[in-house]
Amino acid sequence: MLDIHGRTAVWSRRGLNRRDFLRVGALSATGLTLADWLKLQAHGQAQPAKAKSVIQFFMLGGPTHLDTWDPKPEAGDDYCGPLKNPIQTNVPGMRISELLPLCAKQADKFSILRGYTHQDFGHETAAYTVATGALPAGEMVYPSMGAVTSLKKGYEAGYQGGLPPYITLTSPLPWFSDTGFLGTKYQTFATYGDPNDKGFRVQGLAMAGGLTDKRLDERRTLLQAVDSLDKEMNDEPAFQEIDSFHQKAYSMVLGDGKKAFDMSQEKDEVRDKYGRNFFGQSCLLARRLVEQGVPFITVNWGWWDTHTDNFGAVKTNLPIFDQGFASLMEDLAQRGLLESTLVLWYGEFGRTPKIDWAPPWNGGRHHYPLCYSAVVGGGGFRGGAVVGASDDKGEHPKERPVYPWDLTASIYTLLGINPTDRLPHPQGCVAYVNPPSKGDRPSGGLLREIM
Amino acid sequence: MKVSTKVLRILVLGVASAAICEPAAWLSDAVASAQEAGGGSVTFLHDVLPLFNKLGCNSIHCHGSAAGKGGLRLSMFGAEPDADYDALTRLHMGRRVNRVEPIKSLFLLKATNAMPHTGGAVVSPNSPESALLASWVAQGAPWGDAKRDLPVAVKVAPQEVVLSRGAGQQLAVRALYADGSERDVTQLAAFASSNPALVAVDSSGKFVGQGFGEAVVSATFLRRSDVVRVLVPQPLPGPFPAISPNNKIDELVVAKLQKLGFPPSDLCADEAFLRRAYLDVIGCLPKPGETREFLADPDPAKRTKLIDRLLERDEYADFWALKWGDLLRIKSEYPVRVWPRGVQTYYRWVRASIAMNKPYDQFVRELLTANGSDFQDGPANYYRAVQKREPQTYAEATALLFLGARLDCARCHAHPTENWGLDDGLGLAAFFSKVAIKATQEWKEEIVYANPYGGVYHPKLRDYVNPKFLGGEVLDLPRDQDPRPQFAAWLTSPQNPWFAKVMANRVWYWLLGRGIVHEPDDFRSTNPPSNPELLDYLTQEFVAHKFDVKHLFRLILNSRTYQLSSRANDLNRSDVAHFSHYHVRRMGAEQLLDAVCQITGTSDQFASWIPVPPTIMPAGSRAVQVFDGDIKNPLLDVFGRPLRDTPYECERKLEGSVRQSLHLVNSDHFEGKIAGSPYLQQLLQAHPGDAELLDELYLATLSRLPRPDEKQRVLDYLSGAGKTVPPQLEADKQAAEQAVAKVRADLPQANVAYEAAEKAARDAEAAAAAAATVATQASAAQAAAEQAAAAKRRLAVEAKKAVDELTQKQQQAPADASAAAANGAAADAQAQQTAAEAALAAIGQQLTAATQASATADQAAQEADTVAAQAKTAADSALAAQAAAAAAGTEKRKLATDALATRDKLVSDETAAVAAAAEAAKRHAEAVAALKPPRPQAFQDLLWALLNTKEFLFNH
Repeated sequence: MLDIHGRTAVWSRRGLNRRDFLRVGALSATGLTLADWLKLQAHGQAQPAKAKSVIQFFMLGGPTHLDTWDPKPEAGDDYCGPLKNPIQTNVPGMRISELLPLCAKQADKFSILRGYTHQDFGHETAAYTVATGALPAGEMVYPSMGAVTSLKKGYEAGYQGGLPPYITLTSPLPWFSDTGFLGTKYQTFATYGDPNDKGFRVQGLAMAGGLTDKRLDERRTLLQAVDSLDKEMNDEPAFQEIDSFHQKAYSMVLGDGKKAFDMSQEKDEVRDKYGRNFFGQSCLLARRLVEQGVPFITVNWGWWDTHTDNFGAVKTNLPIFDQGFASLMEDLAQRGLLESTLVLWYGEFGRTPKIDWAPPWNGGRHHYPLCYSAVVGGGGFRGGAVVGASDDKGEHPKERPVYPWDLTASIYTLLGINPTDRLPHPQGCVAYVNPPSKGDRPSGGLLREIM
Repeated sequence: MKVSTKVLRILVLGVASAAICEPAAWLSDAVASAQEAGGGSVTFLHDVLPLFNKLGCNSIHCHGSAAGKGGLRLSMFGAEPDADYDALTRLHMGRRVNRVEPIKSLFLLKATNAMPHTGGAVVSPNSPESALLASWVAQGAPWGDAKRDLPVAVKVAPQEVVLSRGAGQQLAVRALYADGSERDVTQLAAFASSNPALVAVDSSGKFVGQGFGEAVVSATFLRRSDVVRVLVPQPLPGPFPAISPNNKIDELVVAKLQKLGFPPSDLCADEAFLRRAYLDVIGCLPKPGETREFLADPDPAKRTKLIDRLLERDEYADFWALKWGDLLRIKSEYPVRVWPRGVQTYYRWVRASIAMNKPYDQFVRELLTANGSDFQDGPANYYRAVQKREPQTYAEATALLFLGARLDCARCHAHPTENWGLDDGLGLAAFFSKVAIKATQEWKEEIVYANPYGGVYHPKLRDYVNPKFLGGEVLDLPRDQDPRPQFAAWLTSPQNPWFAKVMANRVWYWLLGRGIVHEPDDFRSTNPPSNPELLDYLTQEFVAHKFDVKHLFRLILNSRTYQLSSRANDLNRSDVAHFSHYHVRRMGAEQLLDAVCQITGTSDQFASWIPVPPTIMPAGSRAVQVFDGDIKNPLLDVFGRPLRDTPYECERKLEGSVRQSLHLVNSDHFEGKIAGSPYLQQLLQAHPGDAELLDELYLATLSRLPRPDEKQRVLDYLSGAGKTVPPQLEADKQAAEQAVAKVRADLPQANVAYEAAEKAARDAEAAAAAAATVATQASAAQAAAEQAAAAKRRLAVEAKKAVDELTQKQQQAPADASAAAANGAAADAQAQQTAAEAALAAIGQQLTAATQASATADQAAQEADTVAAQAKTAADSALAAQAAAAAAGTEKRKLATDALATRDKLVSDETAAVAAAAEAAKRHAEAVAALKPPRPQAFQDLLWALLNTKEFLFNH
């Protein structure tokens, strides 16, 4: 793995001092134009939600944009390698990689952001920026979109679902804990395991080995018989808190919600259509969770860190991705769920447009955040659009750059979460849903063109 | 000036009569005091800024927010008066003030909502506030004099109040100025209570005691604050109980409790003390053998001896290295990115320091002055384990850790009540301005060194900042000298007002679950200690013993206060801050996992795969030994171990969650440990008796023996006694048995009925067969008779025919004779005549005979006809009889078939009922068996239950 950690994460815009920020800062409130910000602040509340659920695809390691959504055959062999024949999609004028033929048939359901950009070359810091919309500056560690959604759309917001409000398929991000300063309460529920496995079981929900509903019931009775301290100190708030969480846990374990994880309830044809592999079945499971009303679902899939033999890797992985993602988009649309389900696809960065043919890389692509592609669809995002463009070689945004905080602010807006809302902070620090700029970064504003 | 003052006076007096609102008085006072102060003028600093504060114009919700509001941005809480003054008087060509017609100044029109203002009317047009603001503009909107107009301190009176519940009092607030003058700012100050449920305070500074205990009411004016301690003692029904103190701590704690009327709880039992001391000092549970030994020890000094033993154990170093690992953020990955080898070096240094009980001041000096490679020099990682490697961040982390001061707020905005500002932060940051980090040829190896060219630049003053001790003086050093040693010396000096105190408070917090200053990293004037004498005493002891941390531990652990029961009594239940009883708190994530592993005799996996190189801890490692915040274990993350994102104590979360409950209640991880527990299997073999096994399990999980009532309850549970089968199962079983009985009762009758019907059917069928035979014979007889009659008839006809022929012949004969005579010779004729006559005579004779025969034949025929008719009648009747018999046979057969069906149905009903009864009996039997589950399963269930008790999950 190549590490380029030394580079600065601060936006390269010299000459701003605190005083300037007083004037400029207001104009570059992150992710929002000044007009957006003022409007949201004045309304004091969010717009009605268009998206009920989000499915986020986080492609760990950073997938290449040139070989997926932004092909550049005209740039020559050193850029496109063996992938010289991009294909047309069902949206006139939108072309994508030849390795995504099934997605090409669903392109009217999603839009490609080709000027997605930030300046962070390190996996962990870039992942943090992309997932939170915050720069890794200062000492504050912001929560990810999932954790914020779990706060704003979870139990405290009246969520009544039988499954946790923020679910990760299947392992959490490896680099940082995405609850940030919000703390354990808003942690994601990571299922672990592989939904393509016959024995796929979700820890905590699937009855543990040897347990039955009846035995669990009996254990509860026994627990009451031995919980002496609880009886002696029954007004202790910490005890009452545990009791209420235990009650919720019992009802989840004994309830019906967990059936969403029973993949065998899907017809074989459907399962085949999504692809009998980790990713395909994760896509299908994500749809099942959306049907249960889970507000935020993340599918983490990697490894896309293709420093060496990039093309070997994408030829193996993209067909799997193509099948799962295209099937999900089609299925969501057919079931009438796409309108209320926001689908988001990206990695922590893209990869160098210029291919590194030298050994030991042998046709590798390295970390590249300065311009790459993100994909959004559904939940209030119009499909079939290409937002922005990269330059001829895919190295820099040519028009309509979209910064991580623009995307998070747009997604929050569609979720009915006001990006200018305060977040609770343990030290009472001022923190917003979408972390505001300190005049240290540009913004392209909300993605109004497709909202 | 004189003119303007006059104008103002007229304005104020003019509206005074109309003004209903209270501030009229204070405003005229303000004006008067301004005049007395000699200036006589209204200035921005002296009057306008306080008014903005009071009105909330510069709060976060209004113009104080990061982006301002409606285009006007003020610094939050007025922390930057110069910027605010600019914003008001100079920005946008000064359009916000109208010096010709002050009352039409834009900001005033907005404030009164004469022009549309999102915040509505903040002041009314005729109010004294408006008047004051207008007069300020009329005087040329003067800035004022920072020295004269900004207070240096704020004082409240009284400083400490004892109130009875329900009683109230008014606070008076004075601002003190550099020139020695004072100003009553009660009406301008902002007030807050540390505990509004206990002591409520309103915006005018009137506070009321609402519950028993103590709260602090703070008054803030222009970011200077002071506090009043408000005690609301609880009246006691009797005298305060006499307490014999273990040491000075108890005297100080009890003195406070006595003041507040909170009699302390009793001393905790030995079992509770043992468990608590193990968890608090070395982070793990006592083993059953250790518990037995301690409980059996008759030595009255056994608690003290235990404390001494625990402080020397290896686990002490593990547990406190974990704590310091949290605070120092020893973690490979984001956000601090110390990387695996740096983590190892850093951790080893921290653990070794703790194991040798390195004096705390030395520990901190080594950290702060460290240089070198992250791979070689442990403490050098202090400067790498921050999110952003720059002086201000170092200063903030250092201030938080060792001074308990939260400076990081000041970076973005002024603290609402604290006077640390940007300059304090920058002054402190300057001490770290030489810290620099460079890369090496070795992958991820970095060198921390002092860069003589480093500096901290002041964004406003546009110059380098000199190091300035927090709340102290500026240090004048050559520009290229690293000031860290000076800072470390200042920080760790016994005279430093915070250093020892913050650590003494931390140790108290670690052991008692609540700081004397709480949170332990939030030292500020508006958050004073709940018992200052106690904190002072601990600080003195700590300093006097040369920063010996174990001495502090020993002192606190030996106090009666630490050893109090966690059960509140009726009189101290509402106390949270004064240590009248021990505060229960859930075990930390690592403690919990280690406890479960220890009890079940299992181990867990601790590994980190990202970043490289991967870290895999040896099998059998304990969770408290996890040295890298990046080493993953699902349980630790779920149970709120600190993320090591920040150095705040509150990063460790002890609150519950659904995810935690799911893990405790139903997880392969926990269930695997319980069901596969080698320890439990061993116990099951070693103790055939349930009672002894129960003792062992209680000792292992709850560190005590079960009480007799508990033991009885559990043994009852295990034996199934007192438990009954669910009534439904019982009812089902009975109903099924009754169904069988009923079917069996009906069956014999059905059999009899069937057999009778069968017999009747057979009889009828036989009768029908006989009738058929008879009918056949009759038919045959009829046929024979009819045949005979026909023969006779034929004979009669033939006889008649013979008669007729003879008759004809007779009539024919004369004619023939005559004809012959006529035609022949006479002789012949005669002969012929004679012959003819003879023939005729013969014919006559023959005719007579024939006529007789015909008559006879006729008669015979008639007789035969009669016989035949009789035979037909007989045959007809036989046929009818046959038909009747056949119908009867069919009828009986049907009855018999029905009877058979009825019987067969009952037989199959019986089979079904018997099967159902067997099933019901089986379920019943299972339920009966389940009342007493198999022994291993029963004890697994018990272990599960014990691990889910509050008594296990909590340190109490």
